[in-house]
Amino acid sequence: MLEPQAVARAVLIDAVDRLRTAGRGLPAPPLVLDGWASAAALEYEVAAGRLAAGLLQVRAALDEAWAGLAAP
Amino acid sequence: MSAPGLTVSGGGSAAVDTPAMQIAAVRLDDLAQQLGTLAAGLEACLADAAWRDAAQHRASEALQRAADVVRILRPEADDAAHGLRTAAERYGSAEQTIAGAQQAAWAQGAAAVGAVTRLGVTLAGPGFLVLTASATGALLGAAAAGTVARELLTTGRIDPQVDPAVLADLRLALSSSDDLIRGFELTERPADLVDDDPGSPHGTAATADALAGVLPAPRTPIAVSPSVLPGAVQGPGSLAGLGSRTPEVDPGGTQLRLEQYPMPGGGSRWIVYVCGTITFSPESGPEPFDLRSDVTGVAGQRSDSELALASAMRAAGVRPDDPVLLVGHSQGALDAVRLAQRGEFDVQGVVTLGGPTGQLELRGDVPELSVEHEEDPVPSLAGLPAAGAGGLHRLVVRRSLYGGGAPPGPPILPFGAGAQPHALTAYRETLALADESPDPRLVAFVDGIRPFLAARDGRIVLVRADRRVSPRRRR
Repeated sequence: MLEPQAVARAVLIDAVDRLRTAGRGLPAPPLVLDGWASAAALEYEVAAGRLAAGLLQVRAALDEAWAGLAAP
Repeated sequence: MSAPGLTVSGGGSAAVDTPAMQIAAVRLDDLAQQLGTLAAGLEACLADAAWRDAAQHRASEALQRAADVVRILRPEADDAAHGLRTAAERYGSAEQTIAGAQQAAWAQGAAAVGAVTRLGVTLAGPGFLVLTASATGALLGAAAAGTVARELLTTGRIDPQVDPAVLADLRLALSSSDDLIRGFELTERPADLVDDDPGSPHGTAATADALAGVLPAPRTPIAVSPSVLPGAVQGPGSLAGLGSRTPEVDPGGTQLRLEQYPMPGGGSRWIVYVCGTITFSPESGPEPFDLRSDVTGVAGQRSDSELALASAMRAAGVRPDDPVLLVGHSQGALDAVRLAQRGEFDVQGVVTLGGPTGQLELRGDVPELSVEHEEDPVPSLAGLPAAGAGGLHRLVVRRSLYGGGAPPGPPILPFGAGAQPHALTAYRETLALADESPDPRLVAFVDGIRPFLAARDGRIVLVRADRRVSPRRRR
């Protein structure tokens, strides 16, 4: 009965892992030339940081969901 | 990501790798899209009755949490992409500002030298010119010694002709030559410091015009001999394909290759490939792809090689309303841009390889791709690239062949690198790398010329052009 969910879980976890890999490849904020440009770079840095942390949260939640399924 | 050493930019400079930032932004867009797919998958799971079973409560809750986080993350990815794009644009603006300040500083210095020389000549007589020339010579000598020492220390080589720092100074010096003359004439205005119009009375075109006056003028008509190759040809398919079909320099051989592809509604689509300078002899012999054509082309006159190009096109049957893609290397690049400027043919795209064309502006509806190597001296001979709207629409692919290091070859031989960075073979490699670039501007350019690249069942016309020089003048 749980088979379809297990498949879905595997697909989802795989997707998150791929997203995390993509997130790891993002460049570090480049050299700051002036405050005007660095404000935009900071926006990128903050958003990229939240993105990376969020992807970890998704992965943990999916692991937890899988654990819940495995031990009802 | 772009291939190593390859950058794509508008007509301005690009010290910060803003193209890489733009590409990363595209990847973030892709990430946002994947997050959307993931959110949809999670919603589908949560809608499944099995997950609502009380026994699956913990699992269901965790899944719901994952779905909530994914929903938040999507705008985060959009924000990151937006931040990256804005930063790239602002960095580009900052670079332009710095480049403008550098140009103004050189122009100011040149104008000051000109004015001081004028003052000295007025007060001390023409002998002051000798003093100025000696001082300038001493300064240049010191700069050359410094360059040699720096090159030896950093690369163990002496190859100033391929040193990007030397070539950057050459661009600035050439662009400041008009300020030097205006300074001497005491006519330099503040606006002139940043205004570098090659067509102005003292601009590079005027300087080249004066130089052309020194070279013997052939005043002979151009004869073209077209020959049609048997068999059909298919479109080149890619930028690398364009490079591979551009004629090599071959004394006495073909300078131009034309490909005619019939269009379903009538008329033909043409790709015209133009070779580079064949002889640097100051004599104006039978070869129109010579030094004189280089100089007259920069001067804005219709050079004999440009005449050969236009004559070959007419002789092959190119009609004024046939769509044309021009591809040229070195002098061929200059001829291609000059011909496109004149508007005699329906030029729908120009690809230049190592041409001195940075200051030449094309109409906004003619897409232009310029490929330049950082170590190639020829593009630097154009001075600083045009910074107006016409110049900035020029898409520039730059590549460093040596990545700031030493050229390959014998380590102690001065000038050992020769002119390798200008070679057509090196530009062919760069075009192959450009084909791999995901840069959206480059992709858009290639899409724009796709009808040419993907054309089918054409024919090849090879053309040899000669000046009809009387036997008496031949050597």
